[in-house]
Amino acid sequence: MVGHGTHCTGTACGPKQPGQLPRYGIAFESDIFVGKVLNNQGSGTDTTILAGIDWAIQNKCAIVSMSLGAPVAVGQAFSAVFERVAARALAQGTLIIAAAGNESRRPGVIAPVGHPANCPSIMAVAAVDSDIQIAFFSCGGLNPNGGQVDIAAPGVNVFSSWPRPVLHKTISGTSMATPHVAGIAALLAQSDPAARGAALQAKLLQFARRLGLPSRDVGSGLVQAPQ
Amino acid sequence: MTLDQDWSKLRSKKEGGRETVPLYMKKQISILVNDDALSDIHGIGSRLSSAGLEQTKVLKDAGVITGLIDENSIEALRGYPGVSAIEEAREFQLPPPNSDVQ
Repeated sequence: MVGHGTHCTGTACGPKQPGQLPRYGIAFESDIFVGKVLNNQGSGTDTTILAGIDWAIQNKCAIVSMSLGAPVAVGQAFSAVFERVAARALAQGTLIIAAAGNESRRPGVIAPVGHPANCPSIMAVAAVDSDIQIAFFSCGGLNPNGGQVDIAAPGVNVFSSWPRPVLHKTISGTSMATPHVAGIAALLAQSDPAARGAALQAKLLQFARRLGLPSRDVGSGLVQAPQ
Repeated sequence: MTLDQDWSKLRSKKEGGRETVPLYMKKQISILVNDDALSDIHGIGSRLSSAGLEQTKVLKDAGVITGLIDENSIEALRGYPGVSAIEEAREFQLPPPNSDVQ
């Protein structure tokens, strides 16, 4: 096993009072559905990921958090298959959130938001650091028609859970930013039964803190929990 | 042996009259089913299996069928009733677990 999934799940849903401080999790009362779509070497394909999404819709999950992506080229179109699936999911009350990708090497290179976060019906999450500056690796909204970044969240030096015996680890990535958004989405969904699908996405974007940074990089801004 | 002869040996092999295609010539594909054909998705899956799709998985809630097929047969599937789009499966790879950026 890799540990990546454990770390991401910890961020989204870790305990309110962990055995060892600091606290690292957001939506601690969530029902957690972990779909293993990557093998123990961290590999997967569209086939395995679509199966995971299908399972989540079947189980009426309000939120699907995908800390995964495949690089795309500037000018490359989004996947028609994933877009239609994500739109169907939204209509059934399941919001899909995915990592924007880590291929940038800023300031010199900004890579486009990857697959499948580049689908219009999937929320693409960028990473900021503790100074609320864009992470050097965070992909940007270079492609039109869904290829924009929707929202940003902490993704640099994120402390969270890791498989035994290590227990905790600090790593970076848009993979770490994504479950921050998923956890806050879960809090919103918990507080309001009508906050599902497109309505949930709208709330996340509405409450985001506007940053003095390009929307190409951070979308609507820094994700915020409801007051 | 010439290279051409080697290649034709790799591409197909007659076994008891039935030609088999090596595994690496087959592609994983995702088949998007039309909205108005979703009620028959299992029927479509069965028919595609009969037409040569292997490891057929019907994802009813997503409205997608995934499977493995000879790359030369993909084009023929595009016109199938109820099929909206076909894509070859992309691959994903996480960086190693000790990477700083994941």
